[in-house]
Amino acid sequence: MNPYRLLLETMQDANPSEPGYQASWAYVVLCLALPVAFGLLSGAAFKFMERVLKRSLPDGQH
Amino acid sequence: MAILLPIVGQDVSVWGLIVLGLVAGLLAGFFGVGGGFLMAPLLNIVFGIPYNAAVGSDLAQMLGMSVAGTARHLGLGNVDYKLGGLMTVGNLLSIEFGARLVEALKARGTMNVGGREVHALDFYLPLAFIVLLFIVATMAFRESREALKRAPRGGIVETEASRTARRLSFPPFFTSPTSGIERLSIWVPIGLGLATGVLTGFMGVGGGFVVVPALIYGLSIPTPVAIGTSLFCILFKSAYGCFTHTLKGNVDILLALILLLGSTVGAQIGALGTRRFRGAHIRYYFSIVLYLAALLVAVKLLAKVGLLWA
Repeated sequence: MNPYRLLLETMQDANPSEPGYQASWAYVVLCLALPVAFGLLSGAAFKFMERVLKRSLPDGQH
Repeated sequence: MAILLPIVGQDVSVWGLIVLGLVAGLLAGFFGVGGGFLMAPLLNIVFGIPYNAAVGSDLAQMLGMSVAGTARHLGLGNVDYKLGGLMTVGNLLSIEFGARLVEALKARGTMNVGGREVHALDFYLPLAFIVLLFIVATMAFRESREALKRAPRGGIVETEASRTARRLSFPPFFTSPTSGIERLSIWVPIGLGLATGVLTGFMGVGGGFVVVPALIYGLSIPTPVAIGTSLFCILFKSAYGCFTHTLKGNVDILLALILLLGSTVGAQIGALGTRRFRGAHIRYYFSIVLYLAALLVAVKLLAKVGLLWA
């Protein structure tokens, strides 16, 4: 299963061009879950990088 | 490399969006605000994305940014839950009003401005951006010039406004050791939340560039706590704004994710830059960025109504 194709299919279901259209709940959940997951992952990744850099550089050099 | 955005229905350059995200994130990290005040106008001006989709997708992007930022500030103890919670109550009550304003303008269709047919949303939304950017830029410019003359680095700023706010006697009251609040009417943060919630729903901005100065100068909250608490509120209001705009078909998640790729990296680099400058200097540069953004939106709007080139 291709996640990108799956994402596109969910988005096409949510095409708002029809008058009075309401997005599908699957798309609403996706729009909230993906940014939150991205934020948590990137936050953790930067924290990890900071820790590694602090360990590899002696005090006063970071 | 171009990609088709299914909700927006047009091809855009992926690298262009990543660079825009990076620039917005850089400014956001450096100036301690969400960067939403630049993202929606730039998405419209540079990529031609309609304002309703720019506002909705920007809110989804802001949700990801605020999650990372809040997690960091929580660890540092910079979040005042009581103050943030009260502001969030006001936010959630008014975001829907702002989002419905967008829908009302969308439904209104075109209007005649200076002999040209312009979509109502494409006229009123940039106009609101110009007014807001100009007001905040002027406030930041004046304040930072004064601060550069007198204020010490960091600390709490006592102003007449903060003394007046703390003297307000509309019960109930609350106290908060995190912010150094001994007694404050709950209606002050709720009112601030109501005002900035409309901005979030209508313009897709987190309102950090209004909330952070309001907390520092209006309530004498220490700067790190003001930034952490503002981010905490932005998390909830961007989540609700994203939810309601998704239902209305205004969020292109692919667009939001591509922007996030650039903005999360930019925000970290920007935050590192703050270590080299004084707070008042940062706010002085910030005001110049805001003036430039207002000018950019004004030029685009004038061109659209035919008062500049066609």
